[in-house]
Amino acid sequence: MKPILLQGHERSITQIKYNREGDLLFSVAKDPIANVWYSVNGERLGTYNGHTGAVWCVDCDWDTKNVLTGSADNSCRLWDCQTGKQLALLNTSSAVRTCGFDFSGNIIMFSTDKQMGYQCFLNFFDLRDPQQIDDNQPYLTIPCSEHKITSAVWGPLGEFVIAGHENGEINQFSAKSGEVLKKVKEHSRQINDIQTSVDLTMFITASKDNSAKLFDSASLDHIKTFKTERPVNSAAISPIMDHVVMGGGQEAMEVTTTSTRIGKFEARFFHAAYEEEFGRVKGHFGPINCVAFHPDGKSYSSGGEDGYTRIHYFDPQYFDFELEA
Amino acid sequence: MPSIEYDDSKPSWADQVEEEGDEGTLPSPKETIKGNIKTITDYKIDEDDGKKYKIVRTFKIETRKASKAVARRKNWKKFGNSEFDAPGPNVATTTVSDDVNMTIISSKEDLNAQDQDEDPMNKLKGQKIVSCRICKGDHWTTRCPYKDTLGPMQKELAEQLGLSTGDKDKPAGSEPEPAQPAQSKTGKYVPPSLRDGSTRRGESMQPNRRGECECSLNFFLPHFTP
Repeated sequence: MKPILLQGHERSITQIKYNREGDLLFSVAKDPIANVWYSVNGERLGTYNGHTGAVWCVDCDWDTKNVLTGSADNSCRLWDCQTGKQLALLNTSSAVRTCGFDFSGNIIMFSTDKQMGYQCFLNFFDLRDPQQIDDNQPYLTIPCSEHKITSAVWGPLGEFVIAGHENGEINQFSAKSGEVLKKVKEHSRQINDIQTSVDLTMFITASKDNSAKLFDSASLDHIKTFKTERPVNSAAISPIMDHVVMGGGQEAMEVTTTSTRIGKFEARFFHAAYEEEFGRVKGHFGPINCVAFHPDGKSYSSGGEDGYTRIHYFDPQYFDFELEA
Repeated sequence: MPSIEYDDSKPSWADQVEEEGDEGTLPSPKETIKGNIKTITDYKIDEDDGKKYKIVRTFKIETRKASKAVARRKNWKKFGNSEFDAPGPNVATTTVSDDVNMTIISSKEDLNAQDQDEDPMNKLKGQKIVSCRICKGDHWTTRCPYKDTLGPMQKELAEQLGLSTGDKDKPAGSEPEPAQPAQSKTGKYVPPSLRDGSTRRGESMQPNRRGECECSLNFFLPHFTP
């Protein structure tokens, strides 16, 4: 396959996300600019300018009307997707690490870091109530005093938020009452990324403990484990095949220097049921920080420490491949 | 799909340009559309070489069917840093990378085997680089696991062998050390002063006792004559 290389950032990529139909790909990085691209040919549609620090997270609502970004400049901003205009600015006391629209696109959540004496908080705003935005008063704030939230996604039907913490535990926080509905600790180290399946019934966690795990969203049952030798920075579930893709770093010794044209850092594909690795795709010049499948499953993208985002359209062999049991 | 080719094998267009001398030094970029292939021809002068380059980019124009929402979004006006971009991918931000193939891993062993073949270290492992004097293992003598047991035993054996064969050997030839270092049978080096049969004379520097002046400073005063 011939990947399309997107060079819109000057610093390392922190997150990439497709919109619901998959025609747009959003990328944010440690520089203050958020980019949006047409995934079909890599053409850049525009940039969202306004943040003054590293942008840690990005999300798009189901309608592709609004874009949400959270940044180290202590703000979470809402943008109009089509024009790039900033619609709302929510100031916080510490860096915003994760953010997301719920299924309906009406409620946003974001978590702030434990920094400079401030605790980690999980905030909820209802966009239908402009007063909340103007006063910067979330309708619900959940403090997490012990271990800060490092990654979070909405659960199905907007009932709860699934949060991964610095120590490897996973909590379900109710979006209505704020209480912890369920908790589980299967990872031993920080959870770097959580991504849900297309129907939100499952999610996969990528952890610093060198593994990625598949869970049931409602019960938090641990279903599968995918082991590697390096910390996993990001993982995603294929919408149409029984595959998961994982991106992470690589042992410095393993990276050979024979060719400088193609980077040696790889995205790794595992069979979701057999938990076995079946494929690797090279290309990045630095550790891969974020991976995402296109909603139709025919392509995937990866964002790296090198600042590049690469869109890969799978060869036909990928769809015919069957793992020999 | 876009692709970039450097076509400087035909100097004729560059000569033509120099002869005609139009529009400064470079002809203007051209765009031609043939069927569904769009070809954009750009000219530029490379700053480092000073050479002129003709860049031909080929695009395939595809018509895809998409849902209404997707089609509408394709026609959105560009904004932000892309506001003044022309329609189509911008070279500064979008390029097609080299071919990569997903390397299929059928089993973990195959993967390790691949790495092993490439790993020159493993080639060295097969050869004999280091060998221990005590047990002939694959490690340095000082790191031998049998240093305490086999080491002294070997020294004694060598000693006995040395003493018994010393008479028969020529004196000029091999001399397996008749005077073995007494204090150490572990093969460590013992300096001559500490060996058996040493007098230890003239080894240490003793400080002067009783103020004995071994060295003295002599003053020769200049003799002044009025």
